[in-house]
Amino acid sequence: MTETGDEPTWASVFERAPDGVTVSDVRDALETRREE
Amino acid sequence: MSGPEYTRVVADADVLAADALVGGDARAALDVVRGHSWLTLVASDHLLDDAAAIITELADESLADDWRTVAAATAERVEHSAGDHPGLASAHFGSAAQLLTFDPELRSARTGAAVKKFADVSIKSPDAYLATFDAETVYEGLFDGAYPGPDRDPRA
Repeated sequence: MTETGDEPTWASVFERAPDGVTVSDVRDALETRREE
Repeated sequence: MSGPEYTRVVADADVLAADALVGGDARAALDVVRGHSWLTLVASDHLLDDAAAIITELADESLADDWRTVAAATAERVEHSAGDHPGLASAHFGSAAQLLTFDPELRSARTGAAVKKFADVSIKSPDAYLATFDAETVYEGLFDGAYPGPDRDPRA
């Protein structure tokens, strides 16, 4: 549920994504998780 | 089990999380899948868990929860053992012919040869999927009639 009480959509998720995250950040996070 | 189907696609957790957090090729590739009702995104709970954990780490838990809600509503779920690679196993058990990943090791010829022994899946980066997947050609090879174009809002 979003802050406005609506069901989330793909658009509402994308709008809230933080700036500056890169594919490398994502890859590193996944590698760390799967190595644990 | 039936063979892999070209209309069934798995995105590994890095592509799922990049779709949510980065945009770019990951979002463009998954927009293609979300935009066509005859294409199916396939994922296991383990795969969704991995992507949600990345989103929690790089953004926050609230966004990860909302992402999980829309991802769970979009993806057809499959099950596999906890020790399996979530991307490969989702493709294998979900009869998906396409696995999208940013992992160069997973896309390597050596891995591809090993994977072919148990799963007939094409492992591609999102940009390679965008370059090679022609929705019109695939549609007209599988269905009667002319390709109608995207028939779903990929951001709904």
